[in-house]
Amino acid sequence: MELNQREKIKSILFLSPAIICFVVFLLIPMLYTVYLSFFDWNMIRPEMDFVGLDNYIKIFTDETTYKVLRNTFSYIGIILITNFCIPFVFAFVCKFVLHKFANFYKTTMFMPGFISLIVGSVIFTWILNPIVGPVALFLKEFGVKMPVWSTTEGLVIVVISLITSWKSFGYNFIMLYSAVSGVSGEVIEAAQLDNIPLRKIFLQIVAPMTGFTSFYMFVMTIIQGLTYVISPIDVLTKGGPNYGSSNIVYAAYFKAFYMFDTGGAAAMAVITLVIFGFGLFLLNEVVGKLVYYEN
Amino acid sequence: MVLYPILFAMDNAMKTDQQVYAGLTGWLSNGISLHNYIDIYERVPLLRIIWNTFAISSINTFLTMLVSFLASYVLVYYRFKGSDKIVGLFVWSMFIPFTVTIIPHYLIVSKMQLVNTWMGVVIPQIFSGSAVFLLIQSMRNIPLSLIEVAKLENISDRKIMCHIVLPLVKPQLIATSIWFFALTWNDFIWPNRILKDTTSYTLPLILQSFISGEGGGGFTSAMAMSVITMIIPLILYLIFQKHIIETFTSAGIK
Amino acid sequence: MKIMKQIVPMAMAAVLAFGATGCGTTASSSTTTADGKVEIEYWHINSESFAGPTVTDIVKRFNESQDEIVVKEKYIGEYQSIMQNLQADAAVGTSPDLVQIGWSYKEYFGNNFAYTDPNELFAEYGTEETKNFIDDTYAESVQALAVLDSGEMLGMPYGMSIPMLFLNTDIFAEAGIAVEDLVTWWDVDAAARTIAENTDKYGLYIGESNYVWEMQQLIESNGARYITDGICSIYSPESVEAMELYAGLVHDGSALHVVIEEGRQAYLAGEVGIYMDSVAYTNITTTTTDFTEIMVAPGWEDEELQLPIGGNFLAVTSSTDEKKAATAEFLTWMLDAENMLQWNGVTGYIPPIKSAVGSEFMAENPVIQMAYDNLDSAVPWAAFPGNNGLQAEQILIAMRDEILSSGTPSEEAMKKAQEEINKMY
Repeated sequence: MELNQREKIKSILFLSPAIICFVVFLLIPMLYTVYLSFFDWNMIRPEMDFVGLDNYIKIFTDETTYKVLRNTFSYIGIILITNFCIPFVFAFVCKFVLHKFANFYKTTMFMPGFISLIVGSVIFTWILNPIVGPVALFLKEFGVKMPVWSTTEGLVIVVISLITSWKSFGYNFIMLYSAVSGVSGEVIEAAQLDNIPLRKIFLQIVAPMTGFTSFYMFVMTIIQGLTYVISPIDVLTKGGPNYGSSNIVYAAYFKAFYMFDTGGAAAMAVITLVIFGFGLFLLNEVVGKLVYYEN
Repeated sequence: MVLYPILFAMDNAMKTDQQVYAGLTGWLSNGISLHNYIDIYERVPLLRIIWNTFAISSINTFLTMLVSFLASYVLVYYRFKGSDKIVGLFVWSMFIPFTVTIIPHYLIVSKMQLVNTWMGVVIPQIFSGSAVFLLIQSMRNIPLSLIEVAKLENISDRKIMCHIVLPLVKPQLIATSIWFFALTWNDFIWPNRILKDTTSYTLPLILQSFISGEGGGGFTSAMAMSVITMIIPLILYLIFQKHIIETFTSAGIK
Repeated sequence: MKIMKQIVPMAMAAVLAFGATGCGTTASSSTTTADGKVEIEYWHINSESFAGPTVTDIVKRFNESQDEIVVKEKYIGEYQSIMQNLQADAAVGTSPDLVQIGWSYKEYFGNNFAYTDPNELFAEYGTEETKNFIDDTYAESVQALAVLDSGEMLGMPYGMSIPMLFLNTDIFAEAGIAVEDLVTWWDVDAAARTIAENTDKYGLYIGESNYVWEMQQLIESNGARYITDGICSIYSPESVEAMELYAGLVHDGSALHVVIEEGRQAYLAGEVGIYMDSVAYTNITTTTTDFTEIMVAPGWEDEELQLPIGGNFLAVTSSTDEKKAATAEFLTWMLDAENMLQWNGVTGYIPPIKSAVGSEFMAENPVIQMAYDNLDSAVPWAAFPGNNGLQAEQILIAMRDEILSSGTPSEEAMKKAQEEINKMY
């Protein structure tokens, strides 16, 4: 669509604040971080020592990096299940099976989305206290001793993921519910008439037909999840035990603000960006093909 | 299960530490006691802090919505060469982890001498890929025919924008605003970098001082503080609930 | 809704204009206030529940007592937050005037920030009476804590704490143990096991903060040393022995291994018999519980007791002469017995000043007196030299968790940690 002169000016005018902010506060900082990653600096000393790829080498030769990477994948896996798969299934069930409760669930589940995660983490520290918290006491009634999750590798990731899912479940549920609603009811009915089991309806009809939104939610869940997880980690374990609850996003944060290793943190952040970008790209390719074929 | 933590905090905020540790469970078993809240009020400049939080959230929301609205309008209705690429770029920006930008943001804000000010907190956050995304989605839901008719009748662009598009996306605009308001209200990491003394703090920051600390924090005070922090966004949510859920719901229908 | 449409944008615009003028904020870059007073900034870790109001009071009274200087006190967070903020400020060229620096950051601070040696400060800016303020106020041994290897004095010891054991006398009674029985860590070991066997409570919890202070007490009291001649020497038979005792208790369920907040909550709720933490917890434990008795953390049989000092020291980071002089004067106020002890009473930290000895305050605070009596065994918090100190501490924390969580034998984990740390030097 060709624009006349006046429209051109308008479009530049209106777009400019957004573009300026984007460039100044997103693009340039990103580039600066990349630049920082080649130095050894702690933000105080006036001289920044150029160390080339040293920061990266240090990260890649450090054992804990690999542990942190593995944790990241664990987090992603668990978060996808609790914040993506389960809401998705639940949305499907709510829409096509249990119509009545949908609104109630939508309303209440979205509430934690409006509560600060710091508040949530503090409250959960007490609720999930393995010795004296309400959950522990409840389990004691049944003779079950609550495991000390905060210092148990593996379990700590699960519990922290669950805390963040308390916050995100509602939002994800609503988005996925709406995506599911977009699938035409007729197709579902037709499938039901053909006696196709619900499970198959979900997996092979509904899921692919929600195409773009599902993809968006899938990616958002991962990114948001890894970012949200930072609060509980910081309040509860600071990355412990033995880096058992740390992931690449937290590791960069920790390096910057606890170790004052600006260069190392920048390198970590760049690596994170690269991994995310690559993952996004892969995902796009894979899912893109799936969605295309279904149509 | 979702409500439990909220009720838990409210309940414990009305007890004393001794009671909690001695095992006093049971909802409201100490009666409704506001002593923790009074205590907090006396110890910290609470009203000031609430005002700070409110102001920062409002300013940020307003500016972000303004910038995003203008940008989305242009991107949806003035399709020029490359506008799709810009949309893609903006959407992609949603996926950038904050760790990549936080240090440079701090350096920029301090060079601008905006440390410890509201604008210092707000300015780096004005651009929001997700706000643009949500607004674009809602604008696309408006039938194009409406706009075309208006153009044929030679209604000025400004009028189209303000009197046709704006009212039609108002529910989504409101909902997105509330969402952002809450997001900014609850933000911790970035304000923590920028705001330095207690009189300029926001609620999550002062909450932190009740939790951590060398001498340990008072548990019930922390709970009371948590309730104070939670309440306003929750109230906003409950009021605008319908709009909010509708907006996010329709954003999902591609 | 129609009215809303008009009011809301107007309200928004008003708030926006308000905000744009930076109204309602404070920029802390001026040296003098409008009426010509010198303004200095004091950063501290005293939160609302940890003597925050006391600091506010001390500062307020100072400001009211004279008209040349105005002190602004700011609660920053934990010791680590103070370092973060110092660093952030330094990046843009500003700094506060007086700062509480955690002992574990002594080396890092000394190597990276500008400060004024207190002796020089008073020599140059002190009045006739305060020229020798440091020597007048502090005993030699206390001063030595804040001195770098190079001989320079970094600051003034302010908050001093040592590890203590908090005992739940109810649990002890139930388990049939007497408090007096606890003399060495071996006794603690036996007691913890007894408690775990005879009651359904935990015997021991050693505070697991994000520092290695508690572990230092345990290990070094057995003769091991974190650092010898500037390199890490943690791997030794003595430290393995100490660690194994601890690990043994954790692995058989007699001792608790949780993050610090949960552990504290557990003790306060009466589920732990013996709890090791800083003397700064005296107030919280004694006001929240009625079963607490306190003793100094014990040593081992034949070795010398080592009590690492926690807490902080005050560093002068002013940049101008005017501010340095003002800070010096404020310091004389802060370290004056009355004000100092007021702070100590609420925090539980041991008073570092000479004038506290034998004072009424000590008589009224037996726990602090007890801690004070043991200052002969006080040693500095082990701080690894240079810029890698913080990283070294993290390695030790990871080591602790590896031994306690994953069950790696102490021998192996400690050897690995030592190698890793020394690799950095």
